[in-house]
Amino acid sequence: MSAVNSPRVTSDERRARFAAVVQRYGVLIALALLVLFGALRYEGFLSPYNVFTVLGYNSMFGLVALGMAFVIMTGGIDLSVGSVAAFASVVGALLSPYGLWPALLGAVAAAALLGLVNGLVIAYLKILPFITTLAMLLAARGLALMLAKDQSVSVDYDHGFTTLGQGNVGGVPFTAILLGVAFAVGMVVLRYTRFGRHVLAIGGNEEASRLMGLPVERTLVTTYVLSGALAGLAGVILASQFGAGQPTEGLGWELTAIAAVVVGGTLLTGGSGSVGSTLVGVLLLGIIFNILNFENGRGTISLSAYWQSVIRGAFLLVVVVLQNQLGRARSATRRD
Amino acid sequence: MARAVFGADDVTGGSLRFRGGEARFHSPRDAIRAGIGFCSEDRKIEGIIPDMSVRENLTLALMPHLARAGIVDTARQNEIVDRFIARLGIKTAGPDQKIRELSGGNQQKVLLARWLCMNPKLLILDEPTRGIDVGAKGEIQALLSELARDGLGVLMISSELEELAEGASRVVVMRDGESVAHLPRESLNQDALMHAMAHGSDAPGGAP
Amino acid sequence: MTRPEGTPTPATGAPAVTPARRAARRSPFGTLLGPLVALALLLVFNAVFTPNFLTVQTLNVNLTQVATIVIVAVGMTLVIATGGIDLSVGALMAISGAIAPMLFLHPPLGSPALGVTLAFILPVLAAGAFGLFNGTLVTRFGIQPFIATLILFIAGRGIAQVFTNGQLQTFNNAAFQYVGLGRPLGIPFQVILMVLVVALFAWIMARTVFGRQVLAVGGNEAAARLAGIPTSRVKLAVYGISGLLAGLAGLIVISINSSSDANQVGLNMELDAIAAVAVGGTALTGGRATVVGTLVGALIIQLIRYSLLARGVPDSAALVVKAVIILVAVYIQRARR
Repeated sequence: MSAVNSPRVTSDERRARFAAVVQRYGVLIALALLVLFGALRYEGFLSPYNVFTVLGYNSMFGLVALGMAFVIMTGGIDLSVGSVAAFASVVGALLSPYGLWPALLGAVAAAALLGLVNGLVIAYLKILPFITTLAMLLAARGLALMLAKDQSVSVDYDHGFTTLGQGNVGGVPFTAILLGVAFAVGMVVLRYTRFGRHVLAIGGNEEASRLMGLPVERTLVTTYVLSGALAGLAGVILASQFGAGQPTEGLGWELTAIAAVVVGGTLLTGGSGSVGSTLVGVLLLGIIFNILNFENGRGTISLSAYWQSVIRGAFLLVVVVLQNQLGRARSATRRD
Repeated sequence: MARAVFGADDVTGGSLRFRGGEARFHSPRDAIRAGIGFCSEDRKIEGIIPDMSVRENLTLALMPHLARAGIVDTARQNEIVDRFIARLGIKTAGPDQKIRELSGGNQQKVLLARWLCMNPKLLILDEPTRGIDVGAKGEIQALLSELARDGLGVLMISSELEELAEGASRVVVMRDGESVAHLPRESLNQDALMHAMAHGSDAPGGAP
Repeated sequence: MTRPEGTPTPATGAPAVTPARRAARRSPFGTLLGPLVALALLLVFNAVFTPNFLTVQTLNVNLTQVATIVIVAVGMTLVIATGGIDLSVGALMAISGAIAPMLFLHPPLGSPALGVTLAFILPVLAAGAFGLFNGTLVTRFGIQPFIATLILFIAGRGIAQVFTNGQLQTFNNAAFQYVGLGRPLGIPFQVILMVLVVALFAWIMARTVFGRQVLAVGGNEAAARLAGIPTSRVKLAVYGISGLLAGLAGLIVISINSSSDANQVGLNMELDAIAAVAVGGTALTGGRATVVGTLVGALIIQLIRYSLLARGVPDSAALVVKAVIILVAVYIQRARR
């Protein structure tokens, strides 16, 4: 069926090119516009305090979204990140009397272990990622509550555990630096390593990748371990920032992470994606909340904390619908 | 092309005349309501529902007519299913057998029966004999000829010249979605078909 | 296809099926055998090892607790049969549970009777409407079901919290709470509801055109469309039904509790429901459904939970056990194919 007359082809092509541009730069433009809006409207929006608060707080979502980006690029999903982070925050708080490093490494390792379970079940038992990680969402929450005896666990303030979440270098919070480093490493890994290429190949076509002899199972397991570890890191930051391991935190984090990844142009079907625009997606959502906070402060609106999850949901809704429409416009030319 | 006629794909241009009137089907449902049946070339992907029984697969399109107030009349359903299994000689352990356990030829017969039980005016068949064993192929070709003689319109898409030369009353050669040649029964043989395919024009001496 | 273990798989295309095997295939026990055996073993285990297990009271406790799971899981069975999933059921229960008390605590026109009547109808319809929203995302926008319903999974509970401003609503309204506390002939009312829902949908799946359309859409959507089945409408309908049933379950839960807490109503229900469906023998890949199996699956999960609680295992550990059960059930489903 290639009998398409020529005038329509060009208009389709123009639409497709437009869609591609919107998809690539749209998020960045939206982010720039929001920052401009905030800078003009609110006093102190661009103050170092506000900028670093936003970065510091969103570093948790950023780290989780980074892991999610790799998982989604393989064509999978990790719904367990929120409760794995909560679990890690409890482990970190329990280990905090031993100092920052033992607590950090212990918590990240424990979270990575949960990611390993996810990966093994998905890669070798061939259970759908969203079912497996939904079960892990439940199990990690259960483990967190068991370890924490159903309440939040205060951290030890005397052995440096809180420096991670509350300390800074010349005003720049550690968490913001950590976020930047993690994304820089993520970009390099995706673009320049064999693992990165395998991730994209598997997401593009798992069967073909297997036939080409790529280590499909090992790569899948690695991405879920990575996602678990990064969620664990986010959990440690959570405990360190708020001074307590919180077994019931992390609700809806997976939504934020998925939305950030998708808004960055990564297809939920896998096979393509960008680490950099995932960060832009995280910041976009973070600044939306920041602006809502400012508006709340000025009294123009009064949104309770409960609106947060509604807004997150609405954000993801807009993003997936938009991506779907743009994707259709782009593929319209290719289909014939 | 066949999919567009049936309303499964969007039409990009041209018009469709069916039973003396302009027709345009927006969905397979429209086409089915107008009395058209369609067997896709890809039996596995667009034809059978593998985990459903022969009975349910056979009456899938007929289902709305087998029901009163949405409730299936199983007695009538069984009667029709038994009749078509016998008439088409479908080899199955019984109507309850899952269709995926049948051979390719028998699956195709069930799909034909799915449309024949609707009493269609026109049956569009896309490569109906591809990938099935020789015995069933012959049976299906004979059945189609018989049906066409009885007044059913059969539009068959095929890349097997022998099948076309023997069975068809008229052949239109298509290339890239455009009709390039038109062969009536009297000038129809494998050589003429080859020639039309190669040169994209009417057979030498053929009717305009 | 599921068949009793030990029955060899017939070679494809070989029509030589013995009458005995055909009988096994036709009998509903062909699919239900595994789950029923598991249920029987659990019953025997508890009868022997759990004190006071064989009492009417224990039976009632278990049945009342399982009723909401079953009602939600029946809707989930239909959604899964079309090849989809509904993660939003728990959140929709919370929405329904948040709306109902507003209606009977502040009855419109000052009429308590009208308030209670509306409290039965509007919340369920609201949940059904949210279900249609899920269905629209899936059919109209082509979004994968688990992403489409993930949106309300999180945002839905947020909506319920916004409705109630996160406050616990407590009440005491005998007329409304009959749905959770009524005992006609000594049988808990929600258990009667559960049986009715199971019977109705088992009948729909077995006897109606809609039932076959659901299975056809899940079995092979492209083929179903070419056979004239309105695939989008069927999918829209199952998400709507799932929403309605979740709304009904929300009413039952708040009636039992005499309070509505948007943070708690229906929490983790999506997992319970998916687990019940999977344990009951419905494949998560779609195209097959057994409503009665889902009932059995929910009973199994309930009995496991009861056995754990009766032994003093804390709730948090029960979560881990439940996660394992889900994975095992789904794995067995996969292995059988």
